[in-house]
Amino acid sequence: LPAAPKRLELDRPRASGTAAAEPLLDVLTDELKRNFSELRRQGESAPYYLGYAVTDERTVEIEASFGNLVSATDDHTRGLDVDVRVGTHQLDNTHQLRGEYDVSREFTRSAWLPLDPDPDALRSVAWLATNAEYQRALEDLVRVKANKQVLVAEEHDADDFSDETAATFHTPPATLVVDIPAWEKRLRADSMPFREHPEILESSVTLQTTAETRYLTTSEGASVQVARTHGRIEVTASTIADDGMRLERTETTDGPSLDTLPDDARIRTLVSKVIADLLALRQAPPIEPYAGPAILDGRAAGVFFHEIFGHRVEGHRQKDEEEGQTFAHRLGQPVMPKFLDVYDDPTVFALNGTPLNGYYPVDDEGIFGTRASLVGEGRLEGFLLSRSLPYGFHRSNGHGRRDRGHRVVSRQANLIVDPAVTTSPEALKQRLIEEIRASGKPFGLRFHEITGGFTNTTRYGSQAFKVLPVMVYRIYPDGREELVRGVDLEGTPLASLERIEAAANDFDVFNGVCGAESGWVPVSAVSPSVLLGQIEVTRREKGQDRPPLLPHPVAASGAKK
Amino acid sequence: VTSRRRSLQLAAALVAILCPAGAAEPPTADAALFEGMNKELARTTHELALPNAPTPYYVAYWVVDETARSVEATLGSLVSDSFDRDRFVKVELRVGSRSSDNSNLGTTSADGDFVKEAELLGPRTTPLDGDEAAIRRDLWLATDAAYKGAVEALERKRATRQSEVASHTEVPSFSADESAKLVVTALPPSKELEPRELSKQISAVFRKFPEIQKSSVRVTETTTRRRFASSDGGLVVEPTRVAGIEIQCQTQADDGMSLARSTFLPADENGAADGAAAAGRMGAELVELRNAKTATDYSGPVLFEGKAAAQLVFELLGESLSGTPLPGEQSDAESPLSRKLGKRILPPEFTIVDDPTPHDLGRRAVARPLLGGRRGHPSAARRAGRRRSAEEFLDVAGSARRARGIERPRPLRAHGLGARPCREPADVLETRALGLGAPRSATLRSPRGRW
Repeated sequence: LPAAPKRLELDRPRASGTAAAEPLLDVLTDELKRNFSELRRQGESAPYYLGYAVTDERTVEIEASFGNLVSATDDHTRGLDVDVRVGTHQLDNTHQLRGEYDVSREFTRSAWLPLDPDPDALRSVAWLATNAEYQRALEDLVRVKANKQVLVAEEHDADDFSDETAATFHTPPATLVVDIPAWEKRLRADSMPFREHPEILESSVTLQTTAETRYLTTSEGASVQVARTHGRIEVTASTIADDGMRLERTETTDGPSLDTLPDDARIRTLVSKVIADLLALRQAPPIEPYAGPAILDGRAAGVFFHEIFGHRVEGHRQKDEEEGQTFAHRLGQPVMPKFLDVYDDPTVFALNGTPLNGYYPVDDEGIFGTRASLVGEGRLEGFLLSRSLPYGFHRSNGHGRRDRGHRVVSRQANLIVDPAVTTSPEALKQRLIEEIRASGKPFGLRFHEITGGFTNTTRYGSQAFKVLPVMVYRIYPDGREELVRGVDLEGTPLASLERIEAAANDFDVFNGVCGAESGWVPVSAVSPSVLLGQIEVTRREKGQDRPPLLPHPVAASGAKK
Repeated sequence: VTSRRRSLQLAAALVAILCPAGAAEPPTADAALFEGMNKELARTTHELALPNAPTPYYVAYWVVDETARSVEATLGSLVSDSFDRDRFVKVELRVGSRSSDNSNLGTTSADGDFVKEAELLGPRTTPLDGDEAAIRRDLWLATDAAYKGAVEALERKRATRQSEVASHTEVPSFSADESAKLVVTALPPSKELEPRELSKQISAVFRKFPEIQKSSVRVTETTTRRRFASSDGGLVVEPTRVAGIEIQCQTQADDGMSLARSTFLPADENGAADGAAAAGRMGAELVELRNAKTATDYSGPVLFEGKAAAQLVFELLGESLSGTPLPGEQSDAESPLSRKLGKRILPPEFTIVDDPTPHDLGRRAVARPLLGGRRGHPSAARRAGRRRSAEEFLDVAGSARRARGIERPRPLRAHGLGARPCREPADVLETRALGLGAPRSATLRSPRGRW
């Protein structure tokens, strides 16, 4: 394929982390020291680690629909998660219980902290949560030891908690100023165009914006105060096709602050795109099951890599014997074509000017985020690491993450697919057409938008993934493209990765949130368009409801506003 | 001001703001919404039909605005402050006939899919400032779903009836009562709440009790404006307001037993003083309880005092007095009182009345007064147990649906006790376990003092 140069500019801000600590952090540090010192007198039952993590979050969400305001909420909460570890770094209360599934072990005994800086009230809540978590830790350690005693030896002895240098890093706390009445007015106006389309049954334009400050203080001396602000505009609409298939189309734009969100003209463009796509989907033919060559456009490819590869290189899965461990023993071996590099880098704030959701300077275990090199020239080079390390690793690479109320595990941040050789999108399409002709297939497929997906990583059940495309086109041998609907993309990871044949130079960003054991965390997936020699698509589950029996009330009366 | 005088004042205020009889027209502020509701009612009644399926014989629409403020504090510090505004529409649609329609089937959807059922019957959020077009759009979609579900349910009900043995007396599905025409234009004036200060002030009382491990005070204020229109001419506009103070505290005895107390008070002009007094009383009682001996097994006479007695009556009889018959397949679980009308169920000294209309009962059971009823029927005191017999059942709509848990968990109308009808019974001495349980007393000393 003709080479085309790539542009991949990574913006890594250099935060000094020398801001003053908030009084909240000082109060909690004092209470942590008091509790830790008292618990250390418990002899063999004494904890070796105690950590307090606070998520102070203010969220404003405004939703408008068909020109009217649906809701406007403004919430402020401050949650505390307490982590207690008893035992040793090598074996502690968090160790896997083989053969048992106790979902409560994925959660902390979280508590709500007062919003006021009253030391007595703050300390009271922290004290009680510490006590509850400590008692659970003692009980869990007994279970862990019994589990190890009665079962066969584990395949590898990996430490439960790595020994790390305690970080001190303070940024100013996050603040949020939202002119709610002004945004209500804007969103009402922005959502108005949906009124012109009675085929669209539901729609909304939503602003979600958050100011979050995360605090961490630990018995090892870590003191972290990290702010994050985020805004998102979401435009969504749905309808029902004549055959009962429910169709939905969503466009989102994310930014690190309100002033980086799109202006009204740009939001209207998103609204127009959603309307046009949805109306086209309604008329599009449903697809039949098919296997053949396909192109995944940038954002769709990003989701594809996130699901089939990213989740399978999360470090804690490599030592969990109930996990599929697709890549656990393949370090240094080829796992995808030689022209591909893949890494995950939480320190990248923006890529080619587009802000990334997965940026953070310090992770939720107080470890500085660093680039994790996952694949180099097609060979597996490493994993995403929290302080719960797989066998053979000794240091976290700052990928320990959690949502409030959950225990930390290793997670993706900014997953970046970086091919050494790229071509133009046009050449990629031409190559697809050549493959269609060569294989005698009636058409190939192009996946333009994928709303999300899921994957099973455990040994129980098939090691399969499913991603949920929404804008999919048949590409015929003459180059013509036809929109189709009702498609799911399924497969297994190793076979799918091996079928990647080429990549374009059109890097695109998928910003979203990812849900797993440690809750929902913001992530990004970056990839150029890629060509796969073969994929398999299946029919999507389809509703059986008729479209509404009566015509739209306003269209029926001919009285559009 | 005495309780009795305040009751009279409130009653007088309510009378003053009720529209004169016969003048049940929607207020100007609601005119556009009612215009939309009536147009959709007309379309539904005259045009909505599936081929070879019955058309609706009764349709009712609710459009409800709800504004809720909730502020929580602990030990004098604010924990949360939330404010929500919602407007939602709800549709009730009946096909068949009043003697036997689609209602009161175990599940509405053919496959017992509760999510789908909730979509069919549950409230649907609609724009807060929606105009006629917006309200019509949401009613149109909600009605469409309700109609399709109703037709499916009626067919299933008929099939079930054909295949089952008639084991109980068939009662009509829907009475011929007329829907109400009632417009309340405004609420009586009330003192403006300062929930932040109130919650902080009351919760600070627990600072005096280092033995108490956890405490919270939540001040809530919910105002609603309920609009109702039905195909049989019903029209209700009813604003309501509930403001309350919820106080909770908990601790552990030395033997690990979890102990908790909670109460709910009206947040009126005496709320701060009453709340502080209640918190102090609860704190002292909980400390006393913590040091009390563990009860042993016992059988013998018991005295239930005041609210505990009311709670006992509610637990024993409340649900059994619901007049809504259970679905056919659950007829084995019918109320033990269902065949006791006219028979003695209590000692002769007892009279039990359920009356949703009083606004104030000596500042105690101040659940919202019920003016229009959930289905827009005029409220009236229902007497049960008068002269020792079960005389009448409460004709509360939707009790079967609530039991299946698909109603929105909001303090909507219900013949319950206290001001939290959809949650727990209020103000009962509790020694129940705390969620995840705590097998041992606290290992750590409280930061607020040694005990």
